[in-house]
Amino acid sequence: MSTAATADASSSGDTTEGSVRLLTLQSEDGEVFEVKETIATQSVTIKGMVDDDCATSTIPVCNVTGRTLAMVIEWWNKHEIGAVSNEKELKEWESQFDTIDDKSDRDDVYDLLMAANYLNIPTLLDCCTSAVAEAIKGKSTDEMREFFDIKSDFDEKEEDALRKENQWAFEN
Amino acid sequence: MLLQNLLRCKKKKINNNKEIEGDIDDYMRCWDDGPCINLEDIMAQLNLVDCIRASNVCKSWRSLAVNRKNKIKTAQLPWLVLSHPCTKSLRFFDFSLGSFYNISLPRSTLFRWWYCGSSKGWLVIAKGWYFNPKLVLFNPNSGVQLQLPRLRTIPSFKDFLSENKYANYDITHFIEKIELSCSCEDTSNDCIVAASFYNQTTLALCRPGDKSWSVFKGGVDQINICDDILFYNGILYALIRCLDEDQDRDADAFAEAQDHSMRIGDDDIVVVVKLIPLDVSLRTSCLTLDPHIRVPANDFEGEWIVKNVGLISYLVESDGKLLIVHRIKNAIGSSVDPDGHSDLDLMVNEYVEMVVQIKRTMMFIIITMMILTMLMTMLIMDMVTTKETIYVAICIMMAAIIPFL
Repeated sequence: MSTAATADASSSGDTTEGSVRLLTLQSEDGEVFEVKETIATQSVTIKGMVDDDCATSTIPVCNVTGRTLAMVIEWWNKHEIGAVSNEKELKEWESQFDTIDDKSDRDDVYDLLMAANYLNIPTLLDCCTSAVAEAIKGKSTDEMREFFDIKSDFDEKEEDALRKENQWAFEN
Repeated sequence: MLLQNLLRCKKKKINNNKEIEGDIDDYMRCWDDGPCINLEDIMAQLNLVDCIRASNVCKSWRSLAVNRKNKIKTAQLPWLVLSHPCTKSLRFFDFSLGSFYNISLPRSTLFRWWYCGSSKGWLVIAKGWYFNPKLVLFNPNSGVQLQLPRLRTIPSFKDFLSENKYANYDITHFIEKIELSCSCEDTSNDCIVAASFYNQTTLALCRPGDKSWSVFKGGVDQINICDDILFYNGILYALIRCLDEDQDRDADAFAEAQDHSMRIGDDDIVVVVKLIPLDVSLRTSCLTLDPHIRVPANDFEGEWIVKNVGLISYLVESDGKLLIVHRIKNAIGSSVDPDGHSDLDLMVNEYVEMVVQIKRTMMFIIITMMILTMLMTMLIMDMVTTKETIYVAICIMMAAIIPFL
């Protein structure tokens, strides 16, 4: 049901509403998306551009790849007022973003997090941060490092001191 | 998973352009860049244990974990304190995870310590001489300790001491409740500590580092006791219950909340104290709903089954509102004397006293043995004269007794 194609289709499909403006977004890797203004203004950044009349030509979305932007547009479509009538249904749909099962999910959430940051989309930002928080929960420090590919920049002495400082948190 | 669906749809487009695909694979995702991934917001959703583990991942994560407290959105379930005095650590039980934690206490001298309560993430610990204990706020998370004024600076502490000598002495009975005005990030001194002492008959305030407690003298005394205290919007609220029922019925003076302002310490810091009188009619109506019951026991030999009803009231902040919560407490027990204590209470008290007595007898025997041995050794070795022996004995005795105090 939910495909990125709907994101593209939404531009041509809704011509009946004469007053709806279409915005052209260009991802970093050159993909072009046409999105209804009413939808795209869920992004505070884009809303600012529209309000300042800077959104007349193609809007470049730096640091966001085409496939991430497609996901973002999908998110907007679902969160447009009236798009999903049932609050419960929306929550269910959102819940698919809530879990990070493997490293590929993890990378997607990172990309979405960056996009949500750059475009300033509070709802998506909340969803991504809680997904990352869920992924952190219950992991040991080493497991976290492994999962997020982070190398410790503490030296051995510092690491020992850290562990001693809150020894109780590492016992279980 | 939806993300993967989305990706599959996009893959075709990406495959058409291999250069782009290469770019995507080379794209570095830096999870160690804390600010970039909104780590502060992420940390705010973790519980304390996960947060501590996460803060040890790398320097960037650590620097952001510190700010977590300011952003916490979801309330954390409080931990239960399980431990008892005379251990080196306190044991906590975490409901949400069902796990236990042993948190070491600050290293003390040879003196014992008592756990006296907690407020806003700080533990209140008393340690030292029984007639002049030190009060310390201890943050188990950061390990920071803040000194509170000595209890001796509160006048009613002397009364407490004279009433509770030796075996009955338990400093935790003096401290009813301690409440902090804010979670004071470790060293800031704008935090105010309020406490009710000595059967709730004394309300006193101080700031960490002050030399003495400032006792509130505006309506908390032997008759008007302070059931609970709470800081709410910077004002200290105190729930006042009048023990003299006759006075309470007549007096209109206590019908409405009273505002007092109070100076603390030497500086010009003023705290507003609001006294909320407890409605006595509520107590009576509770008792009619749920009355005291006294029935003879099964094989009645002067024994009664007694149900006592008590009303305990608390001040609670919930959802930004200040609430008074009443708790009706039923205590069921058996009693020989229909109006008196239940047997269970008496038994517990007797047991405690017995234990204390045994402990003291043992102590005495050990100390006497030690002293005798020392004296014998010294006399045999011909080290000292008789006069010196007495002095030495006294010194040793003092040294031996101190730890047990």
